[in-house]
Amino acid sequence: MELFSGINLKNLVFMLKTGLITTIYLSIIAITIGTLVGFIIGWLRTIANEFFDSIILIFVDIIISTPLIIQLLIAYHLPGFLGINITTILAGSIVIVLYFAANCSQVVKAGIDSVTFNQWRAAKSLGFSYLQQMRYIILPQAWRVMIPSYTGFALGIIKDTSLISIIGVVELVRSGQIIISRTLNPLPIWFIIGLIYFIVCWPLSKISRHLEKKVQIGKE
Amino acid sequence: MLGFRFQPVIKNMSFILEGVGITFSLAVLGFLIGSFIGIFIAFGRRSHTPLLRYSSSAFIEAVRNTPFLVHVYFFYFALGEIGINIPSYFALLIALIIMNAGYMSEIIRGGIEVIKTEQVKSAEALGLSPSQIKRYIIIPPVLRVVLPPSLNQFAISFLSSSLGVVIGVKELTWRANFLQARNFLSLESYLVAAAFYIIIVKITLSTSRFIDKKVFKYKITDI
Repeated sequence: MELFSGINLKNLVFMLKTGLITTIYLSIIAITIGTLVGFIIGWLRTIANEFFDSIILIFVDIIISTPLIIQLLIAYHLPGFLGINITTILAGSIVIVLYFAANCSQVVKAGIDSVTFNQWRAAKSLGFSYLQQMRYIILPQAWRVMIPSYTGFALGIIKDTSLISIIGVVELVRSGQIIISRTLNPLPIWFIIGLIYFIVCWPLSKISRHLEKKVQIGKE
Repeated sequence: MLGFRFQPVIKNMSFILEGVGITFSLAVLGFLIGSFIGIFIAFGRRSHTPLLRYSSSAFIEAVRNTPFLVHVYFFYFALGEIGINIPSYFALLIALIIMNAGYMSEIIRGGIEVIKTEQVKSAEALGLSPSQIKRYIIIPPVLRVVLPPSLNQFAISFLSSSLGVVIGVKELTWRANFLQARNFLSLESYLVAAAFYIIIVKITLSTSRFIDKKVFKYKITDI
């Protein structure tokens, strides 16, 4: 059938090898570094004074309330404006890491804040050090609040890496566009791209739902 | 210091404000129609008919596990191949409706699950009329669960409408992109557009926070 003429082994391999690998690479970078940075920012916000906290909050708010596209376009143009030279994939990675870190910091802050102050005091009166209070009393309770939104954002960031195609990084969506520009057959290619994303994300969403149920055990 | 020149962008403010209007119409229409469809899907997922149940959860999984960008490309470019030509504005609107329907149905489902039959029965036993039961027993806890994430989703709807730039819908981001292509003031154009998005999203999210704090100030404790 003519409709499916664009689908052959060569194109599929190109999509998986060039496209999917880059998408996975970007997602892993965003999730690992983003979680680390987000955790530190979220934790800093719980110990910071009001002034420091509001300064962090301004940055976090700017990142989470602008579209990722605008951030990517700014990151694409900013190096030229400043006169430095970086690759688009680095610019895209930085944006997506910051985006995930900002969202993650909100989750961490909300999670730690959800543990009542009495728990801190009780832990302190038992002679726990700060690290021990965090490790044994606060974080186990904070996980329950954090895990559902955290997994939601982590899954979201895999889908959001598709936007990096706009600044020209060859990831899954861009690899599809390249094939379409050659075969002029958009329908099957977009369908397959969607399917690949689904195959990647669906098991992860199942796992995350399982995890959400697991952390709810013991909650009154 | 950095040579920012906002003057040429400010001069085109009416051009940008028109874009804000289109962004607004896309986000609001997409959210409202999407939520309306989402209600049916949420009930469909709890239906006793297997076909209805499976098709609605298949819809939800398909929407939630594929990127919005792919939806937009699919409706604008892919459907054209089999003779369905949708103007770019409506292609984006359909994508927004479907995205909102998928996410809102899960939010609404969470709200439906809050309703407890024992509470309704005890309200009946106390002699409350059906309208009173709705007003005092069912609606408040459901709204409490549904409203904050819905406003969050509304903000996401705004941010997602920025994808119009890739298919040529003349919304805020497209206009910022157009200005930067015309006068090469890339950062300035994008920053002005970003400022509008921040204002809109900030208002939405602070409404959500206000409702959470002021309207639902009494905590519900599960028995």
